[in-house]
Amino acid sequence: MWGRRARAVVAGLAGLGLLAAGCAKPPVADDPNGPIRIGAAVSDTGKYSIEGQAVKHGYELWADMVNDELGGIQVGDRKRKVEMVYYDDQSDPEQAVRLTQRLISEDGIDFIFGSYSSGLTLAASAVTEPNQRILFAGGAAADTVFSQGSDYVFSPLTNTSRYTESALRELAKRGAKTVGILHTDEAPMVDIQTATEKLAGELGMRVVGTQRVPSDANDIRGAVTQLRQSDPDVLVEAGHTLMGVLTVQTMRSMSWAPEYVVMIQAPTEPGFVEQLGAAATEGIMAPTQWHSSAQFSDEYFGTAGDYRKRYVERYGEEPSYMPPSGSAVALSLQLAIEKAGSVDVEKVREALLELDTETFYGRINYSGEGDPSGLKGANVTRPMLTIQLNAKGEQVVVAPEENASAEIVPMKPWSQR
Amino acid sequence: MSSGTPTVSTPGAPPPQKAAQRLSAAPVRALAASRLADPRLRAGLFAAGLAALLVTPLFGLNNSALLLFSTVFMWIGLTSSWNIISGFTGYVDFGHGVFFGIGGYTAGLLVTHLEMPFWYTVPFAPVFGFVFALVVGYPLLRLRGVYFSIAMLGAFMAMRELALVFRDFTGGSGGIIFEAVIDRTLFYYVFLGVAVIVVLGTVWLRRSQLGSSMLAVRENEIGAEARGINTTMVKLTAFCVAGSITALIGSLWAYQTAFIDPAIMFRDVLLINLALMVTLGGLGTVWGPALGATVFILLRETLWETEGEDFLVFFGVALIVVVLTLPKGIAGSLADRVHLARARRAGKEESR
Repeated sequence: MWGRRARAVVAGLAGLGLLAAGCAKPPVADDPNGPIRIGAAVSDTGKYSIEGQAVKHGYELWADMVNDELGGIQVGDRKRKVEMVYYDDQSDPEQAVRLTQRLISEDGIDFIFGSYSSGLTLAASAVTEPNQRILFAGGAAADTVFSQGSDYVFSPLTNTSRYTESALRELAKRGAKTVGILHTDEAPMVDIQTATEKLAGELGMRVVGTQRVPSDANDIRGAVTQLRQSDPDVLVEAGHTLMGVLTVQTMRSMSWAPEYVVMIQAPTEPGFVEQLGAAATEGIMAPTQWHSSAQFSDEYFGTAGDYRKRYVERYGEEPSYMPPSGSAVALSLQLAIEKAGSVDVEKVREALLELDTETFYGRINYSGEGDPSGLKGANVTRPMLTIQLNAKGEQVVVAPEENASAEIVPMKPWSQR
Repeated sequence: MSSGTPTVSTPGAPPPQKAAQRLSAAPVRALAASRLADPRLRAGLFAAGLAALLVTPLFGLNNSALLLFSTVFMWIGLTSSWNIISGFTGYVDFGHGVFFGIGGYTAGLLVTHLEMPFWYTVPFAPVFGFVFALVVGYPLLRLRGVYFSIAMLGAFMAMRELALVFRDFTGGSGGIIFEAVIDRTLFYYVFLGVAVIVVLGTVWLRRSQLGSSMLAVRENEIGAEARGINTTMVKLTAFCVAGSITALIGSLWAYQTAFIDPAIMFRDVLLINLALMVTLGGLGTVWGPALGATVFILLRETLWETEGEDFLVFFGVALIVVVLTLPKGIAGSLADRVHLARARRAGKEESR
């Protein structure tokens, strides 16, 4: 009896041993003659799949540009192609952590491109940081990602706290004195409200009214009436697309048109103009990370317009701000490797910190230790673009001044539309 | 090790013996299964498996493999605790992830607001989980039927919203960041310990009076009441135990991940995976949840390696096939075979 049992136990142990042996293979070392391997755990499926795939498109577009057009990245005296290793984190933080660990421990990868959300990026950075691998966050903009003192996290996006900055700066120059804020109770919108109030103070503007509404409200007349009574020069609305639509409808029903209106999200969504009509949305402004009409350019992707063309040719759709963000962070890795003449993590990290360059995505200049913003690895000098919808419902970049393709136009009264 | 011979493959396979060769395939499997039912053999296998798992990290596993193992252990703990309320008493908890979040936030808030070292916060997580289960469970579990399932889903979503809204206290969507100690070996042993204790606890519970009462509630609640079982008390106990274990695991996972926010701690994929894994292994069985969690994660890992981008399709199909062919889950169907074999043996002895 025991003979059989013992054999079964031995077999079980052997099975486990084999499993362990299979898992114990050492990471692949970097081959100086082979391609530079870059890992990316992005959300192909799950709730961030739309954003995740958009960021991934940006990474792909860059990798193809490097391999097909440049013949590789110039590392010292040789050109090395790039090889992307993509994993799908299924929008699940557990998977994001697990796959990031895998990219490091099994695939032996030093440079990791991140996923969309700030939460997933923070979870992944808890793995990359102690392992001293560089995490390029192509889709994270929350200040918290960069206020942890992480040395190995970089993102070219403008932080959420600066979303309304370029618009307010430009409007202050035009003599706007008072600001009213209408925002939903969602966390990022509250962040924007706080940042806007602080910024208005710095610019010498006065916040004359702040109204908070539930994110699922479908009647905001009370809040809008209150704001109307305080008569601000600038109305800042911070909410998702539907809240933007509701705000315009409410203002129209009251026939109230403040001189300037800035909405955080709605105007950059095509559905906004489709639903309300170009006459109702004319003059509304919105911050955006990137726009194809912005006056940006570099020698690799060309102008922002060239980038859009390249993207449309490849994917058959208009790029949102997300693919360019992915391509931009990848481009910064390429420039840093070329500058360092090496793929050594520390040398590349130093080169990234020294990097200060103009690209199709705007200026990239990562903040380092002791930056006055208190953020590390963030693109702190890059302002947010501000677009304004024209009479045809098209988006036109109006701020900051050096990237603008048109002047800001005040809102027309409802009677003239 | 004499494992090279092809005759000995897995502990569950039929042993090569004359008696077995004369029998047809199904009874052979049943015989093997019945042998697996021998408590001494089970204990032996369990001890051997545990010993193997205890020494595994010494063989130079990389961090990625260690993390995979500890993920399996964590899910064994989660599924086994969920099974206590949903499987044993039959009150399916659709919002069990709420305890995972409560555990994580208990640790996170104590670390950030009271500046407690993380390990000191560990005992608080199950306590808060217990209290929450008591407060929510007391009114809900007095009712019969689906109210409990639906209300728990509501509790889950409500707690996520609360974690978002009270941002001054919880950090809102910005979350809470721990002082990271990324030690995969440490967490391998921590989660292994949790899994072993929870599974052994389930074994004990199933054999206890309390466990029998839980099954009585599941099979016929009115009948159980008529026989003098305080069904509310039994359900509440199961719920509080399950809740506190899940809260403990949530706090440990939060620390291992070093970052929490409402979307991460109260993630809905947790609810779905719990139900899938336990159904796969066998709802209401003792070993089913552990088996289901292990098979689920290893299957996902394997398909992901071999099938690439479309692995979720294969994974879904594989799950459907398992559920269709083994409606009672892996452990449930195995147990049926054991009963069948026993009945046959009993029948044979009678005819002698």
